[in-house]
Amino acid sequence: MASAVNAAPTPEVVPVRPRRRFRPGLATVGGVIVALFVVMAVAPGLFSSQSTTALDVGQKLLPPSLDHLFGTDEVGRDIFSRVVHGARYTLSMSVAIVVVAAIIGTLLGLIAGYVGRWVDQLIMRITDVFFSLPTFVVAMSLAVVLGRGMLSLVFALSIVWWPTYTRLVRGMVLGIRERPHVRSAQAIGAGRIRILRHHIVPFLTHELIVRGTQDIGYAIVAVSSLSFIGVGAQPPSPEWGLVLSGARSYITSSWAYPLFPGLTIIVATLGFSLLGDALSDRARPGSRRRGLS
Amino acid sequence: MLVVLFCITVITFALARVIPANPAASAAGLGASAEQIAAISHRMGLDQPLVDQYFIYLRGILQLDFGTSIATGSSVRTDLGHYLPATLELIGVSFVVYLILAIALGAWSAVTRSRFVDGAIRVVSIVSSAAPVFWVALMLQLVFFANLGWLPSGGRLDIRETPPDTITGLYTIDTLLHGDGPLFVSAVTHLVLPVTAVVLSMLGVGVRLLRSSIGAELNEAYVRTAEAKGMPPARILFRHVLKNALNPFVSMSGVQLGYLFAWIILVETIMQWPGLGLYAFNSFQSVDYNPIMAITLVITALFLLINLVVDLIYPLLDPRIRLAAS
Repeated sequence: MASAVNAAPTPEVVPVRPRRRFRPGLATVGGVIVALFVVMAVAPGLFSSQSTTALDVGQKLLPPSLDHLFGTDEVGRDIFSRVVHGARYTLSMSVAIVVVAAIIGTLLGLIAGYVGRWVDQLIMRITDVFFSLPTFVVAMSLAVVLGRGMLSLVFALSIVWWPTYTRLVRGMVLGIRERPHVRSAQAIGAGRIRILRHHIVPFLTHELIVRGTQDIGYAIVAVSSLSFIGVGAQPPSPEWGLVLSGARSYITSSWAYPLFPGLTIIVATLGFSLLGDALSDRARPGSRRRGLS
Repeated sequence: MLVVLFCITVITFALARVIPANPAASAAGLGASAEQIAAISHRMGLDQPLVDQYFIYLRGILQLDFGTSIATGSSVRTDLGHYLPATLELIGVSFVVYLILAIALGAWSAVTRSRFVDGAIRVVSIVSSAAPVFWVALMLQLVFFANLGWLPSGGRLDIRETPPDTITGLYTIDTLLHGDGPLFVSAVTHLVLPVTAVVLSMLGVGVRLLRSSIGAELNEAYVRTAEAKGMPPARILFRHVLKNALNPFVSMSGVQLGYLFAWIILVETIMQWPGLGLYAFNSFQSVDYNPIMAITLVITALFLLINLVVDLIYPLLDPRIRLAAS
């Protein structure tokens, strides 16, 4: 997306990389994990042919076996296929939260950073208020009041999540605004919208993608936590937090039931943050690069 | 700070009164007649202008009147008084344990500079940032209660035990004040799992931060001077280095305490710890507005208070920072 921007400095810099020899490895791991979960969310049937809802009380709380990789739950449903199918719920909510938050946050950050004056003051004071709130707790009560469900969960978490993007974007815009190319565009008489779209936003996209990727990992934890306490997804959805909330009552009878869905959350979260870190290493216009440009 | 508190009252007010389609109808319950709803609506003041309603609400809060809980039937203030000490005990103990462990581990790994310790800390902190705290709590229960049977699964005391007479509301302190040894031991063993869950989830970040800031301080000239004049290493570390290295850690701790409140809700729910978190969980289940709003307010107030304390601690650590300067 940011190719127009990055095309110029990137190619010449490539040779300077001996210190990053192990980095591409982690990036690949992150990428593979993320890709795997995305496929899982889009086409769960590829991974598991078993039903997520078929009850079989005779098969309840079984330990892992070849038939049931992660064992079975209290009504005999296959936990592996529930986790596979749950990817769709958890991931789509997490992505939705980050996208909505990033859009709101970016728009407000652009306005605050570019327009300045009292508009900037107003927007930044509002974000300050959000920063001084225990955001997660506020999101919980908001989600309950809006009616427990996936949509209110997404709404509630986006509402408390956007201020970080506003701060990020505003900070970047303040820097970019003073650069010669923006100054020149202003001098030619380009309109505000045009300058923002063509001369400022392209410089933001990479940082936003990095931040967004890392945030999806945190959003997965947040989404599953809220669903765990019954605020988000509702049964019988196989959302990961909800599956774990079912496991709560059976820790004395099955070790596999709480273990595997939790490990899945960890792997997914790690995947997104590894990918985000790798992207950010690549994107950072760091010290080595600056010497050339 | 007051401005923020004021804003949060506006938010909770909006949450409780404006967003729900018809609070009176939900308070009256299913199958209530139109007259009943109208009567309740009048009693709740819902037929007055919104601004008036807000000021009535604000006056109630200033008098610590949060209304009554539909689920427990008692006033929210009574409930809060009942649940708050348990949460404060859990948070307090967790935070002290966290401080001790983070400083000890951070200092240890910075001083030894062992690659193994570094690697271990890195792995633990990455996993602890990715592992949801509720899952960590579940795993602790699985291992130490279900499998090993070493520790109780939850609660503040065994069901058969009677709580000590309330002095502070903190069982560990109350049992000590009463001189009740066995009950004190029980209170402490019940604290182990929830505290471990909370501490584990914060530890990674804290240790990494301290390790790097202590590591940076150790390269400073004053450390070399102190070594050269023969000062014992422990004294250098505790009297000189730590004081300088602690500043970023303190500001980080303020932020972490914010997350802590969210985690407390999850941990208390799993461990059946009868504090604010469990109260919140129960209110979420019954969609009980008054307690939810009160809990949000109380947690926000606590959070702001902690951040105020953190701001006040800076100048103590670093006299160059003057409170009035900014």
